[in-house]
Amino acid sequence: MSDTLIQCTDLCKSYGAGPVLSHLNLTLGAGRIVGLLGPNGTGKTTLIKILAGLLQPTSGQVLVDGCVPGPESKAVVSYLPDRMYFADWMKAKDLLDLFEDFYRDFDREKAERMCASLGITPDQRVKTMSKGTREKMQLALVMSRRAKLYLLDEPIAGVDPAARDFIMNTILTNYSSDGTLLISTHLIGDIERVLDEVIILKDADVALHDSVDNIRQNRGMSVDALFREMFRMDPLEGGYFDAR
Amino acid sequence: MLGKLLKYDLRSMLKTFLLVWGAALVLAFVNHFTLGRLDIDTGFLPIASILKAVSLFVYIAILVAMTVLTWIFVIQRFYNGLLKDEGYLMFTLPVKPWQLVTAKGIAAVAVNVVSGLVAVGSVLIVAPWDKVAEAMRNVFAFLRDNGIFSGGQLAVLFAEAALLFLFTTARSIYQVYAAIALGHLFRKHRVGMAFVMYLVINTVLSTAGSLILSTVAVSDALWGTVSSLLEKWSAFGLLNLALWFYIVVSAIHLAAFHVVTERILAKKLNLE
Repeated sequence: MSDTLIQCTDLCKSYGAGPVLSHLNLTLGAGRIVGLLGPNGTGKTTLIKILAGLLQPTSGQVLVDGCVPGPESKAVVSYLPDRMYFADWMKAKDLLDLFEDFYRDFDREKAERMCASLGITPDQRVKTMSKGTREKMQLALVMSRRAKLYLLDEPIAGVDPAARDFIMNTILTNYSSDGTLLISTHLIGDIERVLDEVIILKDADVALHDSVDNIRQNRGMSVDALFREMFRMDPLEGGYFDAR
Repeated sequence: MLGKLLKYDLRSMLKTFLLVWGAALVLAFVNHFTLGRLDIDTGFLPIASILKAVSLFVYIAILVAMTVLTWIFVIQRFYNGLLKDEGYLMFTLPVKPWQLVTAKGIAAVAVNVVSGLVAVGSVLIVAPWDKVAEAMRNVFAFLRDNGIFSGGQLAVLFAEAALLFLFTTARSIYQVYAAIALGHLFRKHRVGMAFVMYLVINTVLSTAGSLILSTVAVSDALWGTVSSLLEKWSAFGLLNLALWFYIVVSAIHLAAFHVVTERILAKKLNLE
């Protein structure tokens, strides 16, 4: 079987105004932890949604585990979106039932243990959970799958440093080690230590795809430092703005 | 997989409607007794009439709420369940888009059918039972004595009417689904565009219907066929033909709306 898990060929996506992804080519193998990096608006979420089958490419081809995104690929992809996707009427046990019903690789016992450690009871309604608890419950469900590919969209954005540690530890101790973790973020310093590879998006395309070791060796700097250098901006200064 | 999806859609439906259906039936029983027993000519006049008015008002309010809730449920479970945040979960399940649409459709038809049965049942509960039974006996006796329909024919017509109700309900629901899916093709104002698409579908269908009718109206051959049918066929035969005609038309509309909805969600899904 091929080692290639993700293959994007000439992938384009635009929302009308300008291209978000333009003729992007990318090949990603199995068993890696990969950081998908880039400033806001460079197409990280768009790429992840296309891989998850939630967005249709404008043109080009995407293959996940050899299949066009569809039921076959979704069976091996565990996706954590940047938002809450639970229905309010559900209880914690309904969500566990749902994941168990649809995903063969779902480890219910592990999910129940994680929920218990978060203080979530089976009869607790989603509606009554705090935002933080809901996010952790979603993470617990996603990481309780033995998936081939984990797509984690900004899992540590907007949370305090302690919660970031909790989230990263949960991810790293629970993911299936023969699977690939693709984590999108712009908080590079928090995840650099665990990454095998990085993909940096810039101007709707892949600006860099390399291993972390290579970057450190060849460029003599950390990924965080490289990122800051690539996207350095001059500070804003005062001036006269003539709108006419 | 369709069965599993349906399980969650039906659970969601029951959580929303059990209370409403229960309340409608309980209030129907209350009204049956208050309307029948509390005579406004007795000495209890003010209390009795207030009780009657309040219980009747609450009962009618529940029936109206049930009708409104049913359609809110149809629209909300499809739009929020597939095209808003919940769609991030539903469209990453390893299922096909037609299964997602069909599960929503079956649950929506079920909620309409049960709400309809509860509404009819509650009206029968409110009415004086002896008079309802007598009226039904009279209708059946009239149909039988005048040789209009036999018992077997009545059963056939009842089954066909039930089938027509199912198909027209499903067709109406899927028209809403198709309009929402067409609205999803637009980058902005998707809800507004869904509403516009609903009106466009209505206009197209009514124009097509008028065109077909006007063609039939000026066709001598077709008029001849209709006239000979009217002369030769019994009331049962004609009613049978009319019911099946509407069942087939509804089924064609339903299939077309399903295909439009499924194709858009399969090929043009953009959860932005």
